[in-house]
Amino acid sequence: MYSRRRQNDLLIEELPDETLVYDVRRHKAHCLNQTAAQVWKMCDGTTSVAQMATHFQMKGDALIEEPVIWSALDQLAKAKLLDKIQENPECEARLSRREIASRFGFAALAAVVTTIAVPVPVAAGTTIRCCESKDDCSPGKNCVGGGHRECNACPSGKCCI
Amino acid sequence: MQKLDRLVWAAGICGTAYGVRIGIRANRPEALREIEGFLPLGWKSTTEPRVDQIYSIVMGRPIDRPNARSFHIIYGGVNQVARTPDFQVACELFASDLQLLVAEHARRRVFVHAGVVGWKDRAILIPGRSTSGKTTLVAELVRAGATYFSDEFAVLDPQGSVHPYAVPLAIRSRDASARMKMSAAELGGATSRKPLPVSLVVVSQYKPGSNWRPRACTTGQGILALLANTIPARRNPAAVLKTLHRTVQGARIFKGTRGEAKNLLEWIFEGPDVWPEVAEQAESNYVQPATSK
Repeated sequence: MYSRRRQNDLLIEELPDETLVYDVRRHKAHCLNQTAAQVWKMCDGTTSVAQMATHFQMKGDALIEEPVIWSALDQLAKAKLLDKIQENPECEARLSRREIASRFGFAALAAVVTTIAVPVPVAAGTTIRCCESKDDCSPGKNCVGGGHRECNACPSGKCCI
Repeated sequence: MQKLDRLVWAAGICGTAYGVRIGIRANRPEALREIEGFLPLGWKSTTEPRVDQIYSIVMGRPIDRPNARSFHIIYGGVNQVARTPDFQVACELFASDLQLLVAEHARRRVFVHAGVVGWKDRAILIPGRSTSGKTTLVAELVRAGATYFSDEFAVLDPQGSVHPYAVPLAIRSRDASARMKMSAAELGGATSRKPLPVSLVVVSQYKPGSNWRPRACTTGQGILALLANTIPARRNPAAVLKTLHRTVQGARIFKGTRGEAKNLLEWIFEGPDVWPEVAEQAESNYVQPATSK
């Protein structure tokens, strides 16, 4: 079974050299650089890592070898952008981005997936402090809950306002 | 909500702000007179009774008994927005909640927590939450000649231009315990009246003693930086992504830790990294010295 990209609950915005992916389920946004985006798009469940490497070589990107692709798959899996990931044989070493840059001398070729969590809207000037009771809040603030929008990020559902 | 609906409401008003329809009702008419000064930018009164959100103001009655307090309570829908014996504080909490509601639900506009100024017919965006230092930087830029858009929100249209949202700047005191409101005019600057395309995004975090050594960011990284501060991002991510993409297209995006705001001014106003035409002009102005015989 080869790697397969997730398709449900994702919004995709293509940029000239990057791809933005918004995970509607988790409210996380990912920026895939060119290498990571190309690897992700090749994850159709039928293409092996070796085949991906061949594809890059035929395109003229000979430096994108299997370790770079494995690194990309690791990051994509961590970002929950893959439904399935190809099993990595033990003999294949997975390289970090720094190791790839050191080995290949092209840090830019390493696959990079940058992720942010999209926050719940909070009022400008508000520093949300979660609480259980009024004693947890500074003077002048109350510990409120009852579905208050700003308290959505708090485990108890209450925050100081 | 039914419990609130069963109370006796003495007065009410309706209005819209950025396409969001708001109703405000109060148990005492004087409460509505007090709240008028806290209505959001862009407020327009209407008689249309259908609203997207109702705010209910329960103004407490004066109590003569010692050690007894009367609370003022404000609800946004069914959520308690404020409960305090100080009506001024209640109004401020109401204003904050209403502003957030408008920012989240505005039609045809995307609100991003950001400071914004205009310079050379282009906008400079400084995204960031409270305490990131954006108001201080905006104030310094306005004092130095930039036009004021906002220290609170970048209001983006679907084409990616940014519109003024010129609320008074909320400048913190030295110890950050209090904030005072100042207009752009009080800073010696002018407020913009027209939208501008964005040419520069400065993603900075204030750290005392830091030197400004920014690194250039890609378009995707810039969009993420704005997305992390975009109010309606969760509610309408598809439209937000498209708007942010159009906003940063053609813009230069830089990120770094900065020290005092004044140290950034020269880089922002004149830096060749920021304004490549400045570098080109400087090169074309250079006259090759004549060689002596």
